[in-house]
Amino acid sequence: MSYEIVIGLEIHCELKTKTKAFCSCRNEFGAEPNVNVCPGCLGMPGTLPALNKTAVEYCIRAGLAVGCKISRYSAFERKHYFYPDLPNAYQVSQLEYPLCIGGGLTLDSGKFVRLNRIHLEEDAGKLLHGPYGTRVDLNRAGVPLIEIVTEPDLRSADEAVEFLAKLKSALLTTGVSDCKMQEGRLRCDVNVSVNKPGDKWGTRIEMKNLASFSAIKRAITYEAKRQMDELDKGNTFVQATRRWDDKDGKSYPMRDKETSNDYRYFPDANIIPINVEPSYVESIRKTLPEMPWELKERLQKELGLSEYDARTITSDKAYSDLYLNVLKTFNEPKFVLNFIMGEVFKKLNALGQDDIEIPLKPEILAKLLKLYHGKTIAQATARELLDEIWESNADPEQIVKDRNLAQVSDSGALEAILQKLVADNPKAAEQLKMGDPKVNQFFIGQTMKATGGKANPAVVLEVLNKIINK
Amino acid sequence: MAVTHDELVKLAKVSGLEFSDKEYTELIQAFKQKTELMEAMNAVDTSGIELRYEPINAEKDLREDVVRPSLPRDTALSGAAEKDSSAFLVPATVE
Repeated sequence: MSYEIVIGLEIHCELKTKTKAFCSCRNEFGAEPNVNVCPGCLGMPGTLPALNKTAVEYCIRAGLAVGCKISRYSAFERKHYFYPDLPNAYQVSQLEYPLCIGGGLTLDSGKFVRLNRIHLEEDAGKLLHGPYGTRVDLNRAGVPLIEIVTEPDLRSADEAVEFLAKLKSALLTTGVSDCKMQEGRLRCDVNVSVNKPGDKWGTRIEMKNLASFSAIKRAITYEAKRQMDELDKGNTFVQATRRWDDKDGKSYPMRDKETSNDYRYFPDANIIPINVEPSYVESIRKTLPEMPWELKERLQKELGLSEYDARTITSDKAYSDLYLNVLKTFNEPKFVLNFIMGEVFKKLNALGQDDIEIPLKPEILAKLLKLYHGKTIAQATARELLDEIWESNADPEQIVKDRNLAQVSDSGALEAILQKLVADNPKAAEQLKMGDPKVNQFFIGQTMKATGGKANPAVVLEVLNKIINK
Repeated sequence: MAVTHDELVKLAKVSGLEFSDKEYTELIQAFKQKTELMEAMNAVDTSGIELRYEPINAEKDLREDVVRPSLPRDTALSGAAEKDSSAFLVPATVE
């Protein structure tokens, strides 16, 4: 039986403000437990929240970047639930009057994925589970978050991951968050349902706090299949929240979905609604940087990159930053692009990070590429040096000089090697004379072997042709 | 509009609270007084009166994003029923 999968995402992104959303405690990841707390974020009676101006600005900034309409009037509600990580027993959030409404992002297929809203809220503390009970660290309690809610427009795990990658890249570009998934600063709740084509949508199952692209992809794939299997058996199920176990690769029941009313939302009387003047919104809009999709268009137009190349190099801010910064001192757009998309991507793929971090400084990579482009070093040497300088940022020019790694382009030196090779391999030499180009590679390989990978392939071919055609 | 016993039982359940029958009776009475007050206010004719609110300005009136000292950790933990040297302790909560 074929089914349609319907997916909606709720993405939580911690904002990179200096202080918390409603008090002046430091917003800091990785501090000692409970050092960034005050009577306000500890939920002590008699304290009052004071809304952080920058948190509001960042929420608006994120909204503008993805085409949201910014609300003129915005207000905060209390969302009630009991848990030890929530000192007030309610989370300050936005329900009726979110700061940003609508908007969306376009996938590579051209499909537009609509956003429902982006609202501002506070994070909860952190529970540290141990054998003797649970320890509570409230440093994170009150850290400003934006929640980005999509419409249920996504139809596959691949679409969901692509959307999230694009959103992450956009948020990084705006500078409102560092989006580090490994540190839980970007987390995703996934709603999945399945239905037969033409039928109404099925019962929605939510999986909370997925913190990597691979977990999101696997969780959606698993959950959709589980629901299809249940329906095929004639079973039904109720709206619920399930827990994704990334180690087992399975989802487990967590709780029946509390309906919105059970959170007993009501207006937070301690936080006065805010008036967002259109002139303020425009002043924020003016400071927005070039977004990845705008950069993509520019690279195609100004540097003549193909659609695929431009899309790939702008798919993560780390890639495009490296590319543009290398070009500042070494302006060979296609050569640099090919090296990054080949050698640098190979290295990054091997590392398998969700949060791409490139320790190599662009100016150092530019130096390496100048040596390679100018044929001072061979491709094999460039690859080896990339590994060597990746973290150390050592000067490639100095290494080449110190270790005598420059290519052998001296035709006299290569001639002696090649004459010996031709003499030792008469069959191959004969094939080459007959015009078989594959044999070229054999001689280049052998010359490389003899020179420790330092021979200049172009000169090798030149000399080889001369010898063969004598 | 009166609050029913069943509604209060549901509210108590999602709030993690327990009440005796006597307390439920008292609560129903207290809610009744409040709803009667609201009904009395709703009865006032406000037609023709413009809705007004005084929101604060997002650009000018909000707190600047400047760090101020937090509590010393010992002070922060001092009111906790159970604690260790750096954290509040609560019964094991594993989802």
